Amino acid sequence: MNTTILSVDRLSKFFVLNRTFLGNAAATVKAVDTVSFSIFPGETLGLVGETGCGKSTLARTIAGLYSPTEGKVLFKGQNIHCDHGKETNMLFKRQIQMIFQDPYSSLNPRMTIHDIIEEPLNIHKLAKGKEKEARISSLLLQVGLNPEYGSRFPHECSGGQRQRVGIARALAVSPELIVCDEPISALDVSIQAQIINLLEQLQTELRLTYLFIAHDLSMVRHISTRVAVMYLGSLVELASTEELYSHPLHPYTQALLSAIPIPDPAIESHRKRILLPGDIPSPLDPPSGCKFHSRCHYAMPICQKSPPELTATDLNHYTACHLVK
Amino acid sequence: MPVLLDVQNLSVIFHTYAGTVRAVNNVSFTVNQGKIIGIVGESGCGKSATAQAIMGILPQPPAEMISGGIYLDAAELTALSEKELQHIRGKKMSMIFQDPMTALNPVLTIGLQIAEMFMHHQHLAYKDALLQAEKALYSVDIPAPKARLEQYPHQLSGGMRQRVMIAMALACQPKLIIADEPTTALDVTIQAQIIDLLRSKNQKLGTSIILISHDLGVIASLCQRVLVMYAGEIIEAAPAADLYRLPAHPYTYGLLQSVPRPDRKNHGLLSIAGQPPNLLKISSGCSFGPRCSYSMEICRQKPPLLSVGEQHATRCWLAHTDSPHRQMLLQGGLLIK
Amino acid sequence: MHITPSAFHRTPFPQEPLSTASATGTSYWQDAWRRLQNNKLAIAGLIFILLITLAAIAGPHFSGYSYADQNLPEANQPPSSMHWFGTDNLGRDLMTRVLYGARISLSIGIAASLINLTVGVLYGGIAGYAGGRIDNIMMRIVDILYGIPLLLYVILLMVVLGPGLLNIFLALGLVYWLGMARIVRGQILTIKKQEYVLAARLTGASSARILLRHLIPNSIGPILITTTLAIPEAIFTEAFLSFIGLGVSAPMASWGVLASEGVVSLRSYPFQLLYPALAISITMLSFNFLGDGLRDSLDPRMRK
Repeated sequence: MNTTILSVDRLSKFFVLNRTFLGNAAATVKAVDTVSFSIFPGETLGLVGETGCGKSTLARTIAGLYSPTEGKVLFKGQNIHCDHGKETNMLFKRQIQMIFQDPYSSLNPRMTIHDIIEEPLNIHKLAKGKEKEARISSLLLQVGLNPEYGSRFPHECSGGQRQRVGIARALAVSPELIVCDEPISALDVSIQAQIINLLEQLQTELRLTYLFIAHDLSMVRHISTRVAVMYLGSLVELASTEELYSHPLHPYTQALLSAIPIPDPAIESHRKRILLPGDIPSPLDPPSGCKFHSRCHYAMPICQKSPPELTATDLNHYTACHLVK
Repeated sequence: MPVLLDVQNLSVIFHTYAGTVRAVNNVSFTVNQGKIIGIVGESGCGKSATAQAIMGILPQPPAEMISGGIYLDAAELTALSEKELQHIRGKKMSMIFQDPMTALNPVLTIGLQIAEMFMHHQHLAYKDALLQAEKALYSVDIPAPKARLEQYPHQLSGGMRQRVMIAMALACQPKLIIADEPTTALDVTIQAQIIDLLRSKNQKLGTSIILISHDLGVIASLCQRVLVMYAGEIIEAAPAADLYRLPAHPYTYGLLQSVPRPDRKNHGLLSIAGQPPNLLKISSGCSFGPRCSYSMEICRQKPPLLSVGEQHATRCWLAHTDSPHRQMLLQGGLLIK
Repeated sequence: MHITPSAFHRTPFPQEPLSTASATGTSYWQDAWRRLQNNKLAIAGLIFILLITLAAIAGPHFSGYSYADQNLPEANQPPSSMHWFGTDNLGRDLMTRVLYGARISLSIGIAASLINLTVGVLYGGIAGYAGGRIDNIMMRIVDILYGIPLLLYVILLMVVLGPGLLNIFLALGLVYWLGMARIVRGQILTIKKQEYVLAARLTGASSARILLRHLIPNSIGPILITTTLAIPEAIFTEAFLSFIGLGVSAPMASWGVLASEGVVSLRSYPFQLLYPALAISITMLSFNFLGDGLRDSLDPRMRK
């Protein structure tokens, strides 16, 4: 696994809030602040973090929906945010697709399921006539839907079925990398497992690479090859899944893992939790130095002054903490 | 342990544009004093409607309670007038909602909203009530409670707002609190704080709690007894330890199998096939039948609640005394399959 | 109940058929139409609007009178079998004049709301789609214009332009698009953030495709409602302008002109005011009922 499929290099994305009338910035949110990592072909990189940590912004920047404030996103070595001419640009759009969180707002309510899946095929002129119809049917079958569903409108489908349609739309252009932005958090528990199993099955069949974003740490453990943890716009830890869950090094990761309730009363009854004090600080006004120091049980004087760099503590285990230098 | 709340044969329907929805079907259960009982189920299983019926806050119309008795401390609540209910709500039982932002009045200060509870139920003067409000905020570990009294709900974080809701719910020391998805809108680290708070209040004050959640982990970390609801019915009721160790209904089993464990390596999730039930036309037989992989001839008839152990009942024909599969079920056979 | 052992044999549970009656692909418009049909007031309004439109187009040809020819010996006659609505002070048949007035009033209503629709949708659409500074400047202009009562603008414009049918179109069209622009901008801003628009951008859809396939079809409901409600407003404004003498010129007769003439002889011949006033009120009510009905049937929050 030497060649990366995607590498993110010191990527930052700032949003300006409360512009004055003439457009001068009054407040800036550093949604993503100097983040670097790579994704290898065929793997699933899990990205976890709490509300406001910037994981969705990062996902959308990688997918090409936002242009970065600083840094770059390289897909197979080429910067996706540069203009390479119309054809190459369209090729990038085919290779990176996205699955969205809310199955209720991710499908146009005025279009039938058939038309929703047809649209990307038309845009990229991938198929015509009978061939196109066959492709739409096979896409629906691939995500476990009967092709008869094509005539339905989104409001006639359940949440799980809608999410399957969203997956079929993403698959229509045969992408290599799929950014899954909280694809299961709006679904019922029994349906979540269906979608996860489908994603895993598609990954093997089509040799897909996933960037899987979620706040459900249990599901991330289940599906990911490696896991990255974000806090207030920065990566705090990145390691292979087993390594991260069994030996978390960053105090935030430790607290996050200890906070997940385990569905087993026998374990829960005598479990000691690391309770973090206070709330997540506002991304508008993050703490200086290490952004986690205001809630960290191990905070030292240096933590308030300088932000720790993401450094390798072990092979494939990166942590941004002054404690583990 | 004396019984605090007794719900008998509760049925609620909703009149909607598309037809009549049977939201709650013949639900009966009891809550003992000082206990935490969990109601778990997916969206549309009737858990919230059950809670609203107990509190007497069902939106009528479209909802209609077609049968049922609700006894709190042996007093029949369904016979009470709205005015008498208002007296009981807040004083004897209170509720915590999923989204505290909609449950708090955005244009009134936190202090005033909590103080009102004391003015209404304990007839305190405003000044004394405000003092009590400060104590209430202090008791749910809100830092600088005095300053918070002056603040408006939008100035607080989600976790803080939920603490305020808990402070309000506990203000008049009710015997029962119904918490409807109290942590669903919160982040994991904040959820852990709120779970911790609810547990310590239950232990210190002896307040009974009905915890409604879709999250099996949250239920496991708080509840002594669990009811599983599906399509408006209680399909399994058991002490928490038994339910997670020996689930006796294929739905409960499927639910447990479809959630990965955060604390160990998982090999393949077992998902429940099919779609959530359409409440407009529930099958006349077992409501889980269409999605069940253990389906039998007899499942076309509605199963009764059958006992499978001490305090443990399941609404599944597999558990019937004539059923050849009962032994498998009692020994955790569902887990082996 | 006796249970035989065979009852416990494994057997698949009967499944619901896939294509049920409720899910045969009812589109948004079919659904909305079904809802509208249940709203009796809206349907009554719609029927009355259709009837009066038909009467306005065909009526004057069949009445046997001209709206302009004077016939002084028959002046001020009460309603009779010859003149169903009576005659005015110049002996003109009042029914013909009311039906002819319907032509003018309705065409003003429809033309004004079409101008309103075009300008408002374009202005609001551009502001909403462009966003940022362009949006800011465009909408502040709307805010400033909104600061002064719209009727005042219209009166000022009419004073400058002089009375006349065309000038009324112009004056109403220049002013009444403000509300539409605001509504369209709001719609576009909300829909622009929907994930299906993001998904379309991800697949490389052009701006034109996004506008035509996603943004406009999804904001058409509110646009239709606003247009329907703008028609009575324009009719009323025209009636008001004519009433104060700034409307269409004689012998053309809009409902406002007829009402204003009727007021003069209110004491002696009240029917001369009654019929035009009834026409104005019922038409306004009909459009408002229809607009409210559309709002209820098209509003996404009402849909399940």
